[in-house]
This record gives sequence, structure tokens and C-alpha cells, in this order.
Amino acid sequence: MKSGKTEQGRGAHLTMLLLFFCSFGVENLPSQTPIFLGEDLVIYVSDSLCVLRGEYHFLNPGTTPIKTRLYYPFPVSEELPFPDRVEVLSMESGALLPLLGDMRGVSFVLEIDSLSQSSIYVEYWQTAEYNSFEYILTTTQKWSRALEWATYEIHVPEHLELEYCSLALDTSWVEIEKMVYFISRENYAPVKNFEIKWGLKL
Amino acid sequence: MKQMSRSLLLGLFVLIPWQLVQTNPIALKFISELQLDAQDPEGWTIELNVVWSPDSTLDGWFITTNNDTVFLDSGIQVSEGAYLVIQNDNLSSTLSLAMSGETITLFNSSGQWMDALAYGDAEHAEAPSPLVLMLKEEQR
Repeated sequence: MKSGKTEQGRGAHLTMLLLFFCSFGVENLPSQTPIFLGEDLVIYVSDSLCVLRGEYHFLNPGTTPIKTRLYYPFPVSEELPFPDRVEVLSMESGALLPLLGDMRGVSFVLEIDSLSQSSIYVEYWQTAEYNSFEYILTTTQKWSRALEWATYEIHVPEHLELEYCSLALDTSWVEIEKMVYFISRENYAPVKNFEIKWGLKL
Repeated sequence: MKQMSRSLLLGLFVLIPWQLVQTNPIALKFISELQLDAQDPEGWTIELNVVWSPDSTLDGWFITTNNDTVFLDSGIQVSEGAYLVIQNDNLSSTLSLAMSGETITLFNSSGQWMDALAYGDAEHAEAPSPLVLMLKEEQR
């Protein structure tokens, strides 16, 4: 009996050790997910169309290359149908990336060399009959880290006006036949989606 | 003791962490876990986490390793966020995974790269071979 108990004790001890090794190994594995550093978005609104041009910057801090599939969702609703045109380019090579898609988003492969940064350019045109636009920024709770930076520019032609923006504007300026609104954030972990509404200037 | 160690080692070891970058865009990691069997190279289990898929089934999806290509059985339904357990029973032919190391790559029915996982002595391995852990345990 005594021997059996000792054996059981050793078994439990061994289990603890094995779990320790597994956990240790897992925690020390190089990450295969890039770090999403930041984004720079420019949104062009017009009477019934919205164009988004975004640059997304990723970092591979590891010593092995990363190849990962990304999914880029669109807020699709009755007011905002699936974009008419979507393009994703590698900013390093300028090459268009092949897209997989469904009715809610597109997917593509991102490759980053070890200890390197990589950026992609995304452009999409979305019908906005209801003069509103939404950009998905999911909740911070499950984020592994905040964006180091995020900038948003909203270009509004002079016959229209920005009626609502879910983020506080930092500054604005006048350009030829349009108004530009600018938002800049650092260590940014947004809690809600980015929404804008516009209408005819009275 | 040795037998107990082996039984504990069975099907444990290559656990691959991944973090979903919860923003726009989102990083997809389909292969969420791999378990190997120390006694049986055909006794592996792959867990797929289908965060998003353009297809409603995995018909035509296939897996490649260093030496083999196998198709997943037809009719495996996917739903968003689902975890699917894939074993040899779910394949069109038998697949063996070497304990020393492999690169397991998942492709969709169009042959597009979906995800990959490398362990052991494979290039760019994300996890050590379970043999390393077994060796450590036996040295104790």
C-alpha cells in the first residue's frame, strides 16, 4: 500500500513536471503571428460612395519568417453593401495579393521575413446610399496589444459636410474643393467601431 | 514508472500557441493544436479552429507533409469559430507523422495556402520534437 501511494505521488509529481515542460515550451516558442504595429487610413466620401485607402504595418520580431493568412472583414448591411471593388497590395513588392472571399470579407496571405516589417495597402469602394460609413475596430478585450499608432483622414467634398464622427477629431484643414479631418492616436486600443455620417451642406 | 511516463507523453506535446489579432484585419490560424502519439506515427490528432472559411465544407481541402499529400474526407461541415478534430479516420488515405519533425501544410480545394505548422527538425519549426521532451523525461 505504502509503495502504491509513493508510486501515485511520483506519478503526480511527474505529471506536474510534464505539464511544466509543455507550458515552458509553449511560452518560449517563437510567435507565428506578426505584431500589428499601426494603420494609416484615408476615407474619401462622396454623395453615395465611400472609398477607403489603408496602409497596415506589421512586424515580425522573430528569427524565423512568418507566413500567415489574414482576414479583412467589411461591415456589410442593408445600408452598406459589400464593396464593389477590393484590392490588396504588398507595399514592398507592389504586387496584388490573391484574394479569397465570402460575402463579409476577403482573405489573403501575408509573408514577413525574420526581424522585418511588412506593410499592405488595401483599397475598397463601398456604396453608401445612406451617407454613412463604418470601419470595423473590434473590442480591445481580446487584443494582444494596442496599435502603436493609428491615423485616420476623412476627405469631404465642399458640397457635403461631416455630420458625425465616432472619434474625436484632432484637426482639420481646407484643401481644393474639400475639407480634410484628421484623427491621430497612439497606443490605441479602440472599444468601438469607427463610424462617420455626412450630408448635404445647407 | 516508465510505462506511466509514456502514457502521459502520449498525445501531448506539440501545442502551438497563437493569438488572434483582434482588429481589422484579423490573423487566421487554422491549425490550433497538434497531438502526436509516441507509439504510433498514425495516431496523431490535428485540431482545426475555423475562425473564418470561404467554404461551408472542407471538401477538397488537403494536407501536405514532408513526404505525403492527403485529402480530407468530403462532407466535413464547418461553422464559424468551430473546432474540428482531424485524425486519420477523416482522411482519404493514411498519413504518418514523424516524431522527429514535419511541416504540415493545409490547403483549400483551390490549392491556396491556408496554414502551416512545423515542429522538430523541420525548417522554421515552431515547436520542438516530442522526442526532446521524452529524452528529458527519461534522463530524470
